[in-house]
Amino acid sequence: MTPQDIEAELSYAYLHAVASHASVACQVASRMHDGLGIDAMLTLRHDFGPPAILTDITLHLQLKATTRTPVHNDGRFSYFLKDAQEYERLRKASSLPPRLLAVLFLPTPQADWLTCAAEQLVLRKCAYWTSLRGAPASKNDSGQTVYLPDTQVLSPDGLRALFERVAHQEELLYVP
Amino acid sequence: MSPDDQRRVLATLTPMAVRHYAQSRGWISVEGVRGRIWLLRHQAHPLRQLVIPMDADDPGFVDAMADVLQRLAELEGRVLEVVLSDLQTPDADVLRVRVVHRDSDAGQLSLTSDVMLRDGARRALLAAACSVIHPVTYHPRMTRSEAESLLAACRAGQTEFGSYVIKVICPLYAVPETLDLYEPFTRRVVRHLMKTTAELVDSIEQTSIETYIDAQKERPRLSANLCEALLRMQTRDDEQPRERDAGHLELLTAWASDPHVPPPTPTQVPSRVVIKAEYLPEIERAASLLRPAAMRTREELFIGTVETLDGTVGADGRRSGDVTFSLLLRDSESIRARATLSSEDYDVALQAHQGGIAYVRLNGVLRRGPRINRITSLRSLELLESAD
Repeated sequence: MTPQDIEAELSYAYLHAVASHASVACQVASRMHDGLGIDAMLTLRHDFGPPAILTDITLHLQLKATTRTPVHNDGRFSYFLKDAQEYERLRKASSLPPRLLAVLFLPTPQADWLTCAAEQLVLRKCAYWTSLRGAPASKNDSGQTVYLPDTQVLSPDGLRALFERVAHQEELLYVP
Repeated sequence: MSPDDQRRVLATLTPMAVRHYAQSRGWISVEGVRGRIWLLRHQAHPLRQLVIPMDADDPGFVDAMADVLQRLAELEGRVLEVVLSDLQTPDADVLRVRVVHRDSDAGQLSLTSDVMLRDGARRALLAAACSVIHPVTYHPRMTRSEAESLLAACRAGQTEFGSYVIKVICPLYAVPETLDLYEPFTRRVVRHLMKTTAELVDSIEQTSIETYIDAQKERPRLSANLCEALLRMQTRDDEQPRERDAGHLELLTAWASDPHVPPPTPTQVPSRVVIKAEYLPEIERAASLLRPAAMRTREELFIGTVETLDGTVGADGRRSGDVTFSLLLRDSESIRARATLSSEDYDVALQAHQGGIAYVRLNGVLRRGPRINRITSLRSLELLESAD
């Protein structure tokens, strides 16, 4: 496997682990979804109670992983999304099912990505999510820098909170 | 179907048709949703929901439809392609005939069996249509105009994965509303076909075909023609004895999702009927009981071709024995029938066979069987003069 392949697989492993711990079903995208630029789908069937009316929620995720140290400024991380077409798809996505970008920031030395011992399995650093819905059109053909709020950690609690927001039909819009 | 093809088909779906499809299958609207979407929840599984965009030009339309398709397929326990196919035909009842047989395991069937299967399905619809119009135990000619209009409007869908499946798309409004019916003629026909076949199978399993036939003397639902059509659909091993596990045939219906024509409930009409191969002799017996008594022993004139010669050489050095004919019947049906010929008749059959497409004329009694039909009491066999 190339380092890029390993990064991609670790991002799936991260998502599966976090989703499972949050009782959220995680499914690698089918071939049909793959063509739509969706890497994984998260589904939660849960009644959050009124006034939330959505009880069967699916989130479509595009997964990325990087070893580049992100710039952290004003409570957000920057990430350069290389594919302009992907950016277009994400910014024009409809509200349901929400389509999100998740980026796993890995440490630079490959040896630090994952360590395994009798007491713990450690996958270092973490992933953040953002919605690019409503983001401005890109003027750059090679890609677009996007920003991920540092509050939007892809963690079990963060994931449940995200689902609750969707259950209340909260629009997930891009915060530039 | 490739993922690209699936997405192309998803893009052609109409939001209203998808909504109607869902509503016809137990999904009900949820109030209070924001935005241009319909939110539906399932009656039996309250947490399950569908989100259907109201506008096909919504940028996430295909995305959302892929999600809807996956949820529908999961709950219905059907493969994506089949559900997608039904979503494309919201205004048609779709009849599927599935052959489960060792020959069809790889999704293939002999060409002859495929032809028989399709013809059997066509004749089953025709027989059901004739019975809806005129309920009798036997239709001498299945040439009712409404029945023929329905058949003319039916479309054959692509074969589907799952042993061997053929699909007949029956448009709900194939026949103009001239019969003063409370529901479209197509629905009555498909409903009749499924219900009557289920009743026939049920009588074989639970009571007897005599009891069933007696119970509907006043207004017969089952016809000999429908029995014959069901027999025709069976994969044939011809002379081979039937094994215990000789497979089965399934009739499956996906009801149209037209909101003005609600589908029957499963207790009213089953959407799946299984006909085991071991029931064939009983279905043949039912066909025989339903045919007019005179037909069982009536000598008829047949025109046909000689298909196979299986005679043996006798003590006199001449060949005689079994010959298989392909006979053209009055209502343009063609069937294969076997006759045991004397050496003189065998010579005639041999001449016909050697002559390529040479027709013979024969007089005898046709006895229909589950696997092979026979001509008995053969009185004459002669070669027809060539037209040119």
